[in-house]
Formats: sequence, C-alpha cells, structure tokens
Amino acid sequence: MSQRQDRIDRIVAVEREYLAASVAAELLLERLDADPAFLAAHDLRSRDARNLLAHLEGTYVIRLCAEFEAGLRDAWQNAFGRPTQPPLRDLLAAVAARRLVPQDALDRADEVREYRNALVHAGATGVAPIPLVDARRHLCRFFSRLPSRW
Amino acid sequence: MTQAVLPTKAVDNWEGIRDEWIESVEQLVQDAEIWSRKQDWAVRRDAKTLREDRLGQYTVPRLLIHATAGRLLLDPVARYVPGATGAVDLYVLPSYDAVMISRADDGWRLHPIGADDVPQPWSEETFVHTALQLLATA
Repeated sequence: MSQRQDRIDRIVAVEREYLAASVAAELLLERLDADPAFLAAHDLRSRDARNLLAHLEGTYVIRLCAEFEAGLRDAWQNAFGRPTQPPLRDLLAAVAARRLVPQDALDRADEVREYRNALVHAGATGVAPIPLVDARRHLCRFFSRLPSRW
Repeated sequence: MTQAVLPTKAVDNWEGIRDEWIESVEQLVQDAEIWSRKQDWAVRRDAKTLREDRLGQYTVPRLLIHATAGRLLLDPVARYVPGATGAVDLYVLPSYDAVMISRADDGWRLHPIGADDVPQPWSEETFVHTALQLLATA
C-alpha cells in the first residue's frame, strides 16, 4: 500500500471511531434514562455523559486534524525532503503550491484548521462548526493530491 | 453554456476566465490525442464536470489513452491552484501514479516523475517520454 493511502486510511479510521463512539454515547444516555444512577458506581454523573455527547464531535475533529497533520509532516519530510517544521497554515500553502492542490481544497482544509484551533483555544466560539464527516472529506481531498509513495 | 451551479466566490469576468480555461484544456487534450495516435495508442474522450468556488460548475474534456503497455488518463483538476493558472493530471492505470501538468502564462508544463526534476515544456517529445515512464511503473 502507498504511504498516501495508508495516511488516508488512518484519517478515515478516526471518522469510524467517532461513529462508533457516537453510538456508544447514545446507548449510555438511553441507559441513564432508564437508570439515572447507572454511572454512580464509577463516581460519574449523568451530566458527564451529556457533556461527552455534546463534545464528542469536536474532540474527534481535533483527533482528525492531528492525524492529518502528522501525515502531512511525514510527507513534508520524506516526500519533499524538507527538514523544517513550519506552522500548519504555512505547511498547507507550501504543499498546495508544490502539488497543484486546487485552491478550493486548500481553502476547505484551512477552514478545518481554523475550526480545530477554535476548538482547542476558544471553545469554538465565533467559528462556524464543521461536521466531522465534512472535515474528513476536506482533509482527504487535500491529502489525495500528495505523491502516492515516499 | 448551461451553468448548473453558479460560483460562490465569483471572480471578475468569471465566465470569460472559465471559457478561456476550457479552451486551453481542449487544446491540451487535442495535443495528447494527436500525439497518442502517432504512437498507435487508441484514445477515447469523455466529459468531466468540475466545480470551483470561483467559476461554478462546468464541463471539460478528459482523455483515456490505451497504449500497448497500459492505460493513461489525462484528467483536468482545477483552474485555480496556487502558483499556476490551472492543473491537469496524467495518471497511469490501475496504480493511479501521476505526473502533474501545470499551466503558466507561457503555456503548459509537465512535472516529471522525479520530485527534484525541473518542469518541462509541454511538447510531443516530453508527453511521449513521460507517458512511457508512467507506463513502465503501471
């Protein structure tokens, strides 16, 4: 398998983990509806489970971005032979210029980066949320422009 | 031209830019058709729909090339790419290894397989050479 495909598979795997975690969280809430003290044995409250569900997608967007960035830095070093560690914004632009990434794909990946930053630093206030499925699509579209092997 | 999806970030004279880009891709595909036939490679055109924020949705030709050693696909990517005025890929099937073809003010350029190689002007010689290189990796 090519390194590019391996990295794309890792990004897609994060999305599948998120979908599985969403099902698990919904099941937990159903159980709590039937038994509000269900989590007490773990020293947790129903509110903790509701917070889990409320923040789940954002948490996985951050993981998705981490996987994407790790792959991009791997390619930067090993496909392009660049030992530098530029900020992600600069890295996106540099890779886009080298690989003729469509401007739209660069714009979408940069929007995901900005949303990830807002989630990490400011609780995502003031930034339009990007559903995880869309974020995965944008990041994979960008990544598909990389060389297949390095 | 039927415009099914209008641009969401339209640039000035977007219709003129779109039409000029489509014409340029048409010329590139026509070059590849002629040069492929001279190699006794069969060619088949079909249409590809592209959608860009700045140009909306439009249709360009793409070209499937059947060579003795395998198949190639000349596949337009986008008019708007950083550092160029358009991009097209030349894929080898089934591996989908590709070389990029960028457009600059002075014409099309083939980006060779080696990452450090200098882009070459689009010509019959560079097209056939690159196609044979790609087919050798299929």
